[in-house]
Amino acid sequence: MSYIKFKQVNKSFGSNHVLQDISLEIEKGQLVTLLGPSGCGKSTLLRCLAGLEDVDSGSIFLEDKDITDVSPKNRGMGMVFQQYSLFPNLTTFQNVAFGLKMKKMDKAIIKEKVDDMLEIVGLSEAAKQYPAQMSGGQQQRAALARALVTDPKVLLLDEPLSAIDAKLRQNLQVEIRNIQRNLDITAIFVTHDQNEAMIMSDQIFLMNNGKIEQADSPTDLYTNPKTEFVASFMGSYNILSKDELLKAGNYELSCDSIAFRPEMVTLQILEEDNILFEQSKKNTIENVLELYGTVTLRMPHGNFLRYSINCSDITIKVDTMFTEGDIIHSDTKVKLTIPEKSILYY
Amino acid sequence: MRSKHKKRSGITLLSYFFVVITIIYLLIPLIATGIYSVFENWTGIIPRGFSFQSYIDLFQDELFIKSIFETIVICIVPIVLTSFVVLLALFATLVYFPRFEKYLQLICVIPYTIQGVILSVSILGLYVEANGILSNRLVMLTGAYCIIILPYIYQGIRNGMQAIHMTTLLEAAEMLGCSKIKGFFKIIVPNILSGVITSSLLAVGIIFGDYVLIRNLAGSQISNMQIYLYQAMKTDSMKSSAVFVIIMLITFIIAVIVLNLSDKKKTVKNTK
Repeated sequence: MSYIKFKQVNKSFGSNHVLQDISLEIEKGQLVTLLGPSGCGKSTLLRCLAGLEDVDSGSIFLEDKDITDVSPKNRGMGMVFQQYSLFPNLTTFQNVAFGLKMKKMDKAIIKEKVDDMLEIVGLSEAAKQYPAQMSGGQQQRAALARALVTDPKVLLLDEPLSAIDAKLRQNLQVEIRNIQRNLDITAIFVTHDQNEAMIMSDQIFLMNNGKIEQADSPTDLYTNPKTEFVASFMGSYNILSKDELLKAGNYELSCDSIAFRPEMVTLQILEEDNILFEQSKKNTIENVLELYGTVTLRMPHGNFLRYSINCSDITIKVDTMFTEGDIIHSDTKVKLTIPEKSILYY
Repeated sequence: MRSKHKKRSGITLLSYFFVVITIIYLLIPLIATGIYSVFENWTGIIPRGFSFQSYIDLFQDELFIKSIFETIVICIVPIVLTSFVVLLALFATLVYFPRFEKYLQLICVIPYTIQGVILSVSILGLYVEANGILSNRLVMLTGAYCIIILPYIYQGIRNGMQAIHMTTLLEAAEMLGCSKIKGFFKIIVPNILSGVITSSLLAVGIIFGDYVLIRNLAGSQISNMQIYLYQAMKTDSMKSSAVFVIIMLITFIIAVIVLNLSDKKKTVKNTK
């Protein structure tokens, strides 16, 4: 039985149909990510679940109860906003205690719960500080504590790390994941960063144009993208249409396009006398796909190097490990070999 | 490098010079009035006959004390009333009908263009024969002041709301189990208080300086300090100077107290 369920949810802003027949199910205790480019509807979907936006049609269920028309304050959900949204006139302690005060809890219990929560997020020493006196990371942890302290049924995180610098962001990704696991809470995380989604999620719902393109585990989404869009969004896949493949390597395709990951390509430097740029007969992909080209660009990406290879004016991305002795220089002629089992057909 | 430094210090000196000149220009009439109010005779270059008699007389005059009291009361009521109405109107508009905010702004800005005489004559024409409370002169005066200070109060509160991302804060409060209206008074109002205070101070200045509206609408029933000043000017110039100095002092004291209160809050929140 699913914990959260969306049933044919539709939402429009004017003529913009932001959510189109969204149906999805989320299990209890999971951290699920709504991933997609800007404007794909992921934040709207989260806000519909929170009750901050009304749906035009369809239903939302929590623990099998229809909550579509329940007001946000009665849904029992905690939310962390992109801009933290801490109350500037309250200290960290008062901010975290706010939700408990609204529940009219006893003062002693409030103090105990808030102190515990501040310890969990590592903010015990900042309890008396106002938001303006804290760093971005501290503010985000305070916002997380404020959302968690009321024991919400679901924790909603709307791009909570997008305003934080890269290093702190990585730390907070791990912290949020650990807290979610330790408290065994169901969490829905919205992001446009595929790496963040891969690191944090049990399941990813990849959205595009108000629809869910693919719902899968991070590994399956990365290794087995079901559409061209998923392939291009998730893994910097090389996507070649029928015509492009014909131009790049004189290959004939029976489908519309193919995709393969940059790291699945093997590069081999060609000697002048075995260059084979022009293939006279048309090929079909059997065991391997072989292409020939020239290195045009080389960019270090942390521990790997990304090459851009020009194959008859079609650019192919190739990733190799960044080892000093194996660097291939620009204008070098190369042969690209892609195993057939790494190729996805669309 | 050195010439750049010289140029910069030259510009700093010049700006200090202009600031000092402006301060002197603004303060000379005040200082002269102050001096004039404590000397019995100032016909030559040097004033003669130092005395606080005009101040002693003023504070022994019941009418003057009454005028101070009435000015403060007639000042507080419209400011509190307008602030409350604008707060509620802005809350309703921004939260429920954001598309109508431009119309609210238009309505609130219109009083900028209305002159005191026109306003008082129009109000008299409209309400003088109305039955009940609306024909009461004090109610009319309060209403007229509410109209006059509306643009200042509206702009102060609106700017404050824009600066704190009101909608997101309200959503955050709502997610924590708070209703919108409760969230508004618990979270939004305390955060825009400094904006409300600043605009209220502007309104205090406007109402303290009013003569036209009060004279036309409620001259026979209420006498504020401007009316008292006008009467004093007809009889005794030294006394009128003393009244002027006291008006300035009261306005200054109110401004200092209110600004101090809002600054204290700000300092607590912004100390790193």
